[in-house]
Amino acid sequence: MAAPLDLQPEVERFLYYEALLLDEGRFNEWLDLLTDDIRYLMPTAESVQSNPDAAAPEVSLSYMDEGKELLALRVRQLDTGLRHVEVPASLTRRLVTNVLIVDAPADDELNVASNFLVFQIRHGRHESQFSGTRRDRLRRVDGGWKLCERTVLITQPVLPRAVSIFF
Amino acid sequence: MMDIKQFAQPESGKINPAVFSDYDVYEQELEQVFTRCWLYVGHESTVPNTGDYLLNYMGADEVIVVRGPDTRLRVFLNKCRHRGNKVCFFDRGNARSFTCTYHGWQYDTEGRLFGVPFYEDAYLSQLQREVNGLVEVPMVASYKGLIFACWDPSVMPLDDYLGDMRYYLDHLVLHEEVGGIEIVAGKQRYMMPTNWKLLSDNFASDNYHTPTSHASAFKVYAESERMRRDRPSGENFQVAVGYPSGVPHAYAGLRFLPTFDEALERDLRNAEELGPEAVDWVKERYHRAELHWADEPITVQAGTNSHIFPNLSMITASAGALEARGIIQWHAKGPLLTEVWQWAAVDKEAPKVVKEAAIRKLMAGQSAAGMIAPDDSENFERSTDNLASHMTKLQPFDYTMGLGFESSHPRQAEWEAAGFTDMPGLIGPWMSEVSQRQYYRYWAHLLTGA
Ligand code: FES
Ligand SMILES: [Fe+2]
Repeated sequence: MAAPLDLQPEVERFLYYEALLLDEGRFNEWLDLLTDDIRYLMPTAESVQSNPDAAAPEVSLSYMDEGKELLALRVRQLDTGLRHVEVPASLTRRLVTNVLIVDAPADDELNVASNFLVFQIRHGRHESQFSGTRRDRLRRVDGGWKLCERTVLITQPVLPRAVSIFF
Repeated sequence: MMDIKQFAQPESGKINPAVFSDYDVYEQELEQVFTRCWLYVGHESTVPNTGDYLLNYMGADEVIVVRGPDTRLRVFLNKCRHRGNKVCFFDRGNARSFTCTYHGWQYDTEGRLFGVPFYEDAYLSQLQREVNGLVEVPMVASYKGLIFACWDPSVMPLDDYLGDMRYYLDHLVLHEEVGGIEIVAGKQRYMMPTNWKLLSDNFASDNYHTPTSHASAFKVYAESERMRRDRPSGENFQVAVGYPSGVPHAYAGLRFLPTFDEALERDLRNAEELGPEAVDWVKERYHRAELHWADEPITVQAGTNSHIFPNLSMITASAGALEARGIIQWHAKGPLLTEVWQWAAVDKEAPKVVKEAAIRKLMAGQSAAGMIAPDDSENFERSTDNLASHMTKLQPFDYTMGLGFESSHPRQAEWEAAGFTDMPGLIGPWMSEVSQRQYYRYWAHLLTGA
């Protein structure tokens, strides 16, 4: 189904609000924006000079491939106060741009692309930046939107640091 | 130049932090460690066909690992003989030749220079192509699929270099008795602002850090019924392989499962959630393993973290039919920066659903974005922050745990009676710094010749 352009403000508002929750460390509220069947995927990136005969890999290694149960476990891990890499919590600022409703795969669903730039600062001075693009699927639930699928494609093939934040 | 013998005194458990920050030490390592040891460069399953190649590092040198038309694996510096440009620019792939993009010299997959633009006009046909091939790493050998290379033609054979480590690789990582492993596509890469040796030594036996460093992960794992099920319940050991005088490798943890039957039962319960294919695989795998290991005095099924000198580590959270193995390399990028590479190995013959589940579990733990590794990263960042200060350099780091009790732990007799000490290497307590002392002793030996 073609992209319902009139939904652009709603979709942007959803993504900006999500970014605000993550920047403010309101992870349990963030979990509420995810459907129970969410798949959160962050693939690895390699440059491959391809062999035309090479078959597509059967399985591959990502950075993350999680459902709601594991994502919730991660939030509980942060809540222990013993997740050292987030104590004190990283300062983050998420810039979300290039929001594009691609199409509507089902009556109540939208495929949405967006870009992001995340600044992360630890201990006042260790600075990292993650840039990337996301392929999201949003689902209409009780009149609002929820995220039911997210693929995070980080631009950097070598991550600037181990990942302790959500994108 | 720093006097290594004064700064690294592993026999008394004292290592000066300057060895983790000094640029001169790093340069000496490039010269004396990374040119004289067997270094892991990749796995055969990722380069099965003629022309398949991958890039890796040997120390700071980027190398091409490529399979030639004669099916042999060769390793070359990724460096044009004319002016040193790179000749290969992809992380991996398949190629018939490597062409330099500066002036166009062309090399075949056996390293021979076969193409020189304007050979007659520019060189008057005088350039000797035969002696201008890619620089080849002289020693290349595999151990059951793991490819190693070494710059030193007089290095001991790879089998001797790995020594008793082969027993642990066979039992805990490679598992040829159930069909062997494959490395799945893709690798994780991330930076850690710390010295590569601290990461190596952490994997070379630092079981002491896990209750504190990974407290948050263990706390929430304990809340999950499934995670609890996966926790090993048997004896934990640290094995110093190569002790006291060989190449120091380490199995820094043999977290034993009690018996084949109990392990099978646990894996079957987990497999049921994945479907009938997974259940069949679990049964088949245990059947094959049992047949193969029937004559062994000890049933070695264990999770492990391990280290092969100088910079290769492996991890698996638990033993069993549903586990992936992480293969990790700590690539030094100067004294204060490490680029971590991590692959995942799975049982080659396992069904797809099992491979996927195994990889997902690995990713959630010791992994770039997992619930374990980032906390290590944080601790190394904190300690590295302190390395630049003057007063830090005056205080040696302490590596004295278990010093003097290497072969005489109070529980030694008990382990002997249970047959554990029949395993190769020095079997010791779970928490000990014997392997780290070994690591720095060998490291100092390479740097000083002593
Ligand atoms: S540098 Fe490679 S051809 Fe000149
Ligand atoms: Fe750790």
